Amino acid sequence: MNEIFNINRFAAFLKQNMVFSKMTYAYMLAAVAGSFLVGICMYAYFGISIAQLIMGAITITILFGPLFFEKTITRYNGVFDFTFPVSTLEKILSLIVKYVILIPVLLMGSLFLIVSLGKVIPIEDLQDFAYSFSFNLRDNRELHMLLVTQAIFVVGYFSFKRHAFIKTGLFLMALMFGLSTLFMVIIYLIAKFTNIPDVINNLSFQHIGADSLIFPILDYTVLFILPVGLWVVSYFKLREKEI
Amino acid sequence: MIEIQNLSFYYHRNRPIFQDVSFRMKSGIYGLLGENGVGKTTLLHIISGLLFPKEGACRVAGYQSYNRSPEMLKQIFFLPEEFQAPQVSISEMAKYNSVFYPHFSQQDFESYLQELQVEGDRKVSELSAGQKKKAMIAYGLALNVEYTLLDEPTNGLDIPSKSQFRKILSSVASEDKCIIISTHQVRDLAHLIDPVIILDRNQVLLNNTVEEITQKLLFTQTEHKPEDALYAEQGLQGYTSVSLNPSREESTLNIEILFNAVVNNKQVFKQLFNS
Repeated sequence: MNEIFNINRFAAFLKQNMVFSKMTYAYMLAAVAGSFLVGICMYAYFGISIAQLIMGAITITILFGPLFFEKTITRYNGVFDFTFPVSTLEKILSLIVKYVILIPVLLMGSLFLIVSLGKVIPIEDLQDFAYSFSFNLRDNRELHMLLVTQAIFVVGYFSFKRHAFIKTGLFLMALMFGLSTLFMVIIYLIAKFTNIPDVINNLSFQHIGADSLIFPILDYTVLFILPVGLWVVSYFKLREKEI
Repeated sequence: MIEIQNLSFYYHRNRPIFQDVSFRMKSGIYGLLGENGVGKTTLLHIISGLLFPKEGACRVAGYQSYNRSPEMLKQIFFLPEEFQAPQVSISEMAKYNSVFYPHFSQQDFESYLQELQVEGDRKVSELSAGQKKKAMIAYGLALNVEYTLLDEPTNGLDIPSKSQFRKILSSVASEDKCIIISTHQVRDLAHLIDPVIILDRNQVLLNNTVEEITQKLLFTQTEHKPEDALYAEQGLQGYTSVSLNPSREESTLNIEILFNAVVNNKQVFKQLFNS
């Protein structure tokens, strides 16, 4: 078990990661504070609120963080990382802690603090700008889809040697296009060769039934199993990575 | 011990680097020699778990290298020829990395930094190429691991630093340590290397101690070229040559001549040393 996971070793590894990335975190905090200041100025002078833009930028940073902040693995920079005496599981868990927990909390948390502060300082423009921020998700699926998208790009990071961001994006687009085409062909063929065109034409979730098990199964699959499964794929990709 | 058993490896299937190669490395300062492209760096990558054997096995201290288990990795330090330096100072790197290596010595580390004249507080990435190499050498040797792999460690080092490196290396070497140095600069480490491994395409031509080599081969410096020399080079002071040593005369190993002799008489040396 010690070979796969050791809590003391993992804690020391997390600590090392945090110390070595301290300037990255400092720049992130500075960027959040700086963008808020710029937002206040734009709101005060031009009446434009860039709150959604700031939230979007933070979301993108969280989504694609591993590709932005992790170096491309080459034989020049990978040797020390891959010969470092921690297990593959500990390396993947450290990535999860950093990009799924730490960085989102840091970015959103610091913005939330700054916005909360802005709401109480008695300057009208500042308060108006602060109130234009919204931290509510439409529903939990939005958070889970963020996690799934992030996990997909992590798999892409370990799968592609170079230009992982572009290649993963293109792969996703090709996959969606391919699946859409495939389903359209299947439905067309079913409609053409069966006597149930009416069912196909009128197919909707209402016909399946509100208490059907299919909805919770699909929900669990997409929202929980998919991101976990993708991180498991990343684990095996990292395990098999050669420098 | 590092055990290579029936190892085969290739980057492209029709151009194998190793083909069914077997040998062992125990303790000592191994000189890993070979022509360009024969697989010296590849071998170091396989030993440290960075590349996986296509066939056969590579075991380090009983662990399969491709598993990259922490228990194996904490016994290994690999310094590549070229590397991207960390964005922290070497002192900070040692401070937070040393907890993973049970035999790290802060005293040795500071001593090596001083001897190699490296500033411990500057970011490694801001140092010159030679300084970076020296910083990582000081760090790596202070880890006191059982297996130290160095790929061209003297490249980029100035003359005084090479001398200091030799001094530190000779103090670090012990019976329970295996240091493998892949190098073309054999003169920099000539008197330290023992045993010698010479690789060729797909095979190991030589894997023997200096004593074993000098028992079977005679290294001489003569005015005229010996007729029975396996290999001879003309220099300012005559001919430096290597020949068979049936009478087991004592002589001093000349690694450069040995290498050239081996490369020019592969079958002879393979049979002679039963590689």
